[in-house]
Amino acid sequence: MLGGYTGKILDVNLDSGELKDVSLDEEMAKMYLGGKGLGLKIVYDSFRADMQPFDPDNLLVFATGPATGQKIPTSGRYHIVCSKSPQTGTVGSGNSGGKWGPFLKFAGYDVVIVRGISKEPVYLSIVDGKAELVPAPELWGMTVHAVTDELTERSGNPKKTSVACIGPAGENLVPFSGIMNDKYRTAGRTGLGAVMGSKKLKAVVVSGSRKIEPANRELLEDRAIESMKRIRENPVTGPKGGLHTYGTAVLVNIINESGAYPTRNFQEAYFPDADEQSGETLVKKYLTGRGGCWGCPIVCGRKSDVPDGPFSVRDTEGPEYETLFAFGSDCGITELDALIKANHLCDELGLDTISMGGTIACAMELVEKGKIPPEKLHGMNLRFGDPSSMIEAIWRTAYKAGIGADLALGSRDLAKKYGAPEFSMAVKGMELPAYDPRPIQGIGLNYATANRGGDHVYGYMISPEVLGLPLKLDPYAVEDKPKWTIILQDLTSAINSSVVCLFTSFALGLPEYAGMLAAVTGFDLDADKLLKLGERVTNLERLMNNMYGLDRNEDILPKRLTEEPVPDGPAKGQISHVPEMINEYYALRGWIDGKPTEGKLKELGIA
Amino acid sequence: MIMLVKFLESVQGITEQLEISVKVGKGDTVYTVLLALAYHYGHDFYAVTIGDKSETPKVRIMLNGKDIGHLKGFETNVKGGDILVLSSQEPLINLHD
Repeated sequence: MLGGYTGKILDVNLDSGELKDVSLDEEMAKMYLGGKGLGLKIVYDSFRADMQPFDPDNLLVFATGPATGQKIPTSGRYHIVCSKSPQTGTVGSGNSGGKWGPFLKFAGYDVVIVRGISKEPVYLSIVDGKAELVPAPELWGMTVHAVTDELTERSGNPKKTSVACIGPAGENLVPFSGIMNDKYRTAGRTGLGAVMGSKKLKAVVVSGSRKIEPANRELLEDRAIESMKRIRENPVTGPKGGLHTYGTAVLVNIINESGAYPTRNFQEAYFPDADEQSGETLVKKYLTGRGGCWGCPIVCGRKSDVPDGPFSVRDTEGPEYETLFAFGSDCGITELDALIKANHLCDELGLDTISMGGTIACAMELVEKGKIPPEKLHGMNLRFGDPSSMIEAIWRTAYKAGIGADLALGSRDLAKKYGAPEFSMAVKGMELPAYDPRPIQGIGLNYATANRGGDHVYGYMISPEVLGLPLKLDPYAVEDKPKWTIILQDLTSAINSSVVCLFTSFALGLPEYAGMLAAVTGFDLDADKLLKLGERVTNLERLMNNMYGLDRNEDILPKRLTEEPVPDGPAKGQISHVPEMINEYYALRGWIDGKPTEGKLKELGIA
Repeated sequence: MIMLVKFLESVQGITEQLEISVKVGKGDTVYTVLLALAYHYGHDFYAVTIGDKSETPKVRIMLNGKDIGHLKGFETNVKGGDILVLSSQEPLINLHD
């Protein structure tokens, strides 16, 4: 048995109802570790170029990694992959924290593969190595919190049980619905919730008490202690650092003052009222506590409470920085209580907050510019700065009610439908996150080239370009950005295959990750080999996208960002220079026109 | 000529205010502004912003959206209408506990 793995994969066929155990292939684990890498490899081995998002053969793969559930800082995470995303047309991919990942391993499995479509709604129960499909028509329609409470209670062992599920948005096949676990944690991007909804799979419940032995326990403990020390001493990740004190919302003021806080659908990049929705203000007005994922010393999660007023919501969690931008500045909305409410609603309905906010912002601009006629809105006052209409737009989207059916298309198809595709601030159909790329060149290159579409955590260039970690790069400069973007993208692929939290990368580097993973697995791993593994994962994902027909034509930013300078604020006059950087990026990658060459694939052991 | 200085995150714990307007004139630099503010806010402020000038400041210092490390550092000239931002994710003094 390999260290750090259960050695078992659960293969669930919803067409036939058959469940079978499959042994984990050791060579595959060495090549792809787990999490994202292993999930992609499983999808690749059943790849079909004509796959459709709601095809029964579209695999949904829940994958832990060798670090998951070990005594390694932030090892509470797992990754979900699907063969084809309904949002982007690429391979689908999302990552989540909480406790579901470790609990799957404690229940006896490294990976769950879901294929086929059930005739009726079901949930999958995995308890102490015993898996079963349970008919669940009574659960269909429930919100995330309701179904989580119901299934946790049914388990009879609430402290050792975790539920991953979809909400109404996933059931209604909204292409940017997520898979939620532990109520507030989300594998949010690329519409994995809709794929799960198409399979009539409402939830996956995991519970167990199995311990997974690492290859070298003593060595692992030494290396984990050293990594823990680095995390605790780091000003961002330490116990009194920015992430713990203010949450990810600590970025609101920093990014705004950098002139990169996208405002009113990226028409501007500075929001004068940003401080009213900042991490500092959240702490002062609504914070009731802090919480973290399983095994996490950083504890960046927020517990918040809005006791009264029109946007009252009690004892909720969040919001994160990305959510504050998406429903806040991007929609021209200042009120923090409304943003907390919007976040809560998305968690209940199972929606990706970035894409939901980005789509509403796009709709607001379409209304502002007269592209969506008033009669389409049935009385909704969908305009920048109106928090009530933003809230209403969320639930309408989840249920595809009225204009919600159009919003549920996502910004790309919504803007196309109303004759103004240029208003969609998305890459490959996925809405952009909370950093305007015009004054931060590397993050723009990362957005353009990220395999799953507009994605900040594919290669988090904000770390060197704004936070100065691990070194300071001038955000306006283009020099060296292709090289650094590639390094961070491949590092992230390795982290997501481990699986640990990306936030550890503020404090840890490749040697620390490789050291811990080598101790867990017994594999021959060092910093270079781990980065090469990350490169393999990035290239495999790219190869599948190429086989779906994507190439350099999809590696582009919205024209607004490359042609319209930032109109005001600290970054006035800046534009993104992605077109000037992309060829160097491809050359360094060993790609031609966005496609890995045969030589590159051979070098990585893919071909 | 007036410029604005904003304090984010832990720096607010030293200044106990969110921002301050500062009168600047010809020849003023980031250094002269920080020095003037250090006289106003005290030694803690001096220690985390200027301290030993040869070392990296404990706070992030941005002028008009750019880290001064990408400009001329402390010697960067300032003028009326500029915005200087000081932020730190590190606890500078005991905060929020």
